[in-house]
Amino acid sequence: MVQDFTQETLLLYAYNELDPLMATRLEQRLMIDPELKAQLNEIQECQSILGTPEHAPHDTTIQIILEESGKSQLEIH
Amino acid sequence: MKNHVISDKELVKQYLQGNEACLEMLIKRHKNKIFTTILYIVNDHYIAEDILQETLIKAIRTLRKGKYNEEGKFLPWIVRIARNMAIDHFRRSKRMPKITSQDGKDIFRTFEVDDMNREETYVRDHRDDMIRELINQLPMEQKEVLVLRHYGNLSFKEIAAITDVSINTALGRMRYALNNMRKIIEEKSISLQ
Repeated sequence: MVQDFTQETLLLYAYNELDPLMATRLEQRLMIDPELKAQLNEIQECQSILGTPEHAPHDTTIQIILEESGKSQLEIH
Repeated sequence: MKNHVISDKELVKQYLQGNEACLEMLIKRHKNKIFTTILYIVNDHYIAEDILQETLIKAIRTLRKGKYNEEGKFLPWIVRIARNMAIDHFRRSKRMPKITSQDGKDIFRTFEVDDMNREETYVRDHRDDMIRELINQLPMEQKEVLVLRHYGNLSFKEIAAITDVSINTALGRMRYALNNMRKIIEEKSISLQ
């Protein structure tokens, strides 16, 4: 029986959230299904466009928070 | 976040036992991811700094009151606080925030990129601005799933829980977000090379 893979399944795969067994089945299908492969490529292109930038807050912001924590007299528990 | 010598769970535990240094380690470990997530939701550097402060102070107070019970899932927990703060910000403000002016952003970044080539920095900043503008054009429900998944590194299951929808709905929103993003790029012939 040929299994249908939805775009949601492709999304889970692209973000490494698909369970290993399903991922293996999908990879086998991708080798013989160019339309499905094209859909996955589109998702991966979007991931690439979004990139993985990490913006950093200003050091002062972090310093204020740590000072606030140090000053706080709230009791643990 | 992999290969940390001390887990988040252990750091939280030691912090609650009085080791302040563990809080600093936790914050420094996750600050960029939390900040980036907030920034991509509110699209304003200054507001994102404020929301990050509010988020972390709220998290610290919750920890100290002994109300944290996330069993080691520190990042999803704190990103959820950040997301709620960012959404609150939207509800309070009557208009959508505009992107931070170049001048304002440069004030922050002057300290971070002293050694970087100016042209390289300009290209990177310009590209980041375009991506942020692109994301900002998406409907809020799609935007928040995209940001939480791609930049906050939360799983779709975690996003579904935070946003109080089914996992299929979260996945559907992500699918629409990516499709809409592609449409905007095509319609406006945006180059993101």
